[in-house]
Amino acid sequence: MIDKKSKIFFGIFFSLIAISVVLIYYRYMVIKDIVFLTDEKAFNQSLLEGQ
Amino acid sequence: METSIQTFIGMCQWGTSSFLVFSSNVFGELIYYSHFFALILSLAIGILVFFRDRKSLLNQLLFLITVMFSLWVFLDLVVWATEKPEYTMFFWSLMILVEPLVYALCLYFVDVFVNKKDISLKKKFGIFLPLLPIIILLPTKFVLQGFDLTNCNRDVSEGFIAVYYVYLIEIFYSFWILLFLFKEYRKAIQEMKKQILFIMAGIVMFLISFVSGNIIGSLTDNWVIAQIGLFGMPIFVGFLAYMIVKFKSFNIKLIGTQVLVFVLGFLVLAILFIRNIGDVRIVVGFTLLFVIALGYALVKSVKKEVEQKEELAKLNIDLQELLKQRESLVHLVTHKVKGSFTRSKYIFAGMLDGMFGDINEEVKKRAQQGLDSDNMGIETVDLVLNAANLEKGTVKYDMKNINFRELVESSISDKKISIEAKGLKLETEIKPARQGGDDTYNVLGDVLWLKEVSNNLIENALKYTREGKITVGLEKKDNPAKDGARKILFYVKDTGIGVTPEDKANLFTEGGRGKESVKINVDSTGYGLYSVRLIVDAHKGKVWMEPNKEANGSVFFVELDAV
Repeated sequence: MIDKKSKIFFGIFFSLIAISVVLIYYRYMVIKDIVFLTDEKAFNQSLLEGQ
Repeated sequence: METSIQTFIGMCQWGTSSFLVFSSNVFGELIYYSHFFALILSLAIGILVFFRDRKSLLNQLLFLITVMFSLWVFLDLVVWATEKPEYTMFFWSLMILVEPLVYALCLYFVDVFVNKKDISLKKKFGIFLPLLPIIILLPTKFVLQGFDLTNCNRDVSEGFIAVYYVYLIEIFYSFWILLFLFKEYRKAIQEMKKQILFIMAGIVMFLISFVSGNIIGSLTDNWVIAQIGLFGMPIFVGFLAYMIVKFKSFNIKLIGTQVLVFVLGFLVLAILFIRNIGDVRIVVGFTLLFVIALGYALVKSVKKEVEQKEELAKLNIDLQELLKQRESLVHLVTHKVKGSFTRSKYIFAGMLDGMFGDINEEVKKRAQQGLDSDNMGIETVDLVLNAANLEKGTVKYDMKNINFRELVESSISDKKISIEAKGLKLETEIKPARQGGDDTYNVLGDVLWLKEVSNNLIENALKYTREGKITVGLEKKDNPAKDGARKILFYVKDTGIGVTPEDKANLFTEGGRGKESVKINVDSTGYGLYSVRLIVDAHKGKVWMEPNKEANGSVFFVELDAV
């Protein structure tokens, strides 16, 4: 069985994970703050090449 | 700009995913075979191990590893299948978080597996703290820089943490595990050496194949090769399965021929979902390999089980023989010993009666001591003999409708003098059986053996109480299990030394004696309460002990069905 100090440590650790997950969910799924890493010229070029 | 991006996305003509994981966006149907196979197998072994022994830290860790790995596999499938950039970003971030966690848990797992106990808090810090930068920086550009629309690949540009830091610590964890297991292997005993070897082979192959597939994918952007990494999990599971069968690891006695058959079934089922003939060949090839390996393990496991059953049957015959011999020995010894005590008792009784002439006070005193000792010896022999007969079932009970209250009152009057001679108070709490009416306490039982029960319990209370009081109680209560039926509750409460939780387990067992009680009553045989239990069981009743809530001491209860 895990002792009390370890339980506290894991409690804090997994709470940090939970906060991080909530933040990325908020960033990408709610406010959709996504950086798109291409420009129109390169994109059109790639589409033409695909055809 | 926003409109342009949406336009670009529209031009890519990505398929819509259903249930997050099914779509035409994946590179081929083989992906479902590699992913679902790894996911289901991983979860199956994790759940099997966990539910066999939920309290074991080792089993909990293995369960966590398989759950985290299965979660990673699912997230990977979503990233492959989804057409929505926000889903790709979110699930890809989660994968970057979960993946090194699997490695950290594997490291924790191998340490507990070898040392058979939890690791220190310092080691826990050492294992999990390297994950902190990933957790803290997860929502930032250091993990994922952005969504790459080039070539409509639905690719993500990974940051420094994802490309370098995560893989570095995964390689670091893998080597830590390898070094640790090498070190432990060198100092382990032979039996443990084999287990360490298996765990090492299984877990290192799994972790290295897992990380190398992902490294190749991240550095070359060829994620198809990364699929091979997933097959490390079934290999790990194979090693675990063998260890469970051979060494009964994780406290599982039977693996499961169940799990092995399940896996074989799944492998065959997977072929139904593959439509491309080229892919079918690959799937059938893998399936054949696993069928051979698992089939071999299955046959071995069944053979082992059959051998164990035969061994058990043989041991059972030996046990029956031993029990018979023990019974004969008990009877022989008790009769011989009882005979000796009886002869000696009559000699002492004769001396006290003057049969051998006058004797002085000193000799009288010694003769009386001798007589008392012989009586106690005879009583002990009778107790052991009774217990043997009760256990064997050779005792014939003369079951009649008897007045239990009269029986209890008779025991009380038999023991009253001894109790008061010891300076203890004797109280009775005989409640009316029914308010304002008939108060019969009739039960169906053998009067002699039930008297033995009440005498024994009161005698016990007397032996183990130095000061205070002994309370003998009787009450009648309704039987909640049967309408209209009632139960009789008889109890003996003392203010004696009590029973420790450790001794409670041995209380009504053959020869069971408490460590503290033996200090008070050195002649305790451990057969008195055992006999009480056997008699009460034969009367379809219950007997148990609880601590005395009002003072130090114990309360012994006997419950019987009233008639």
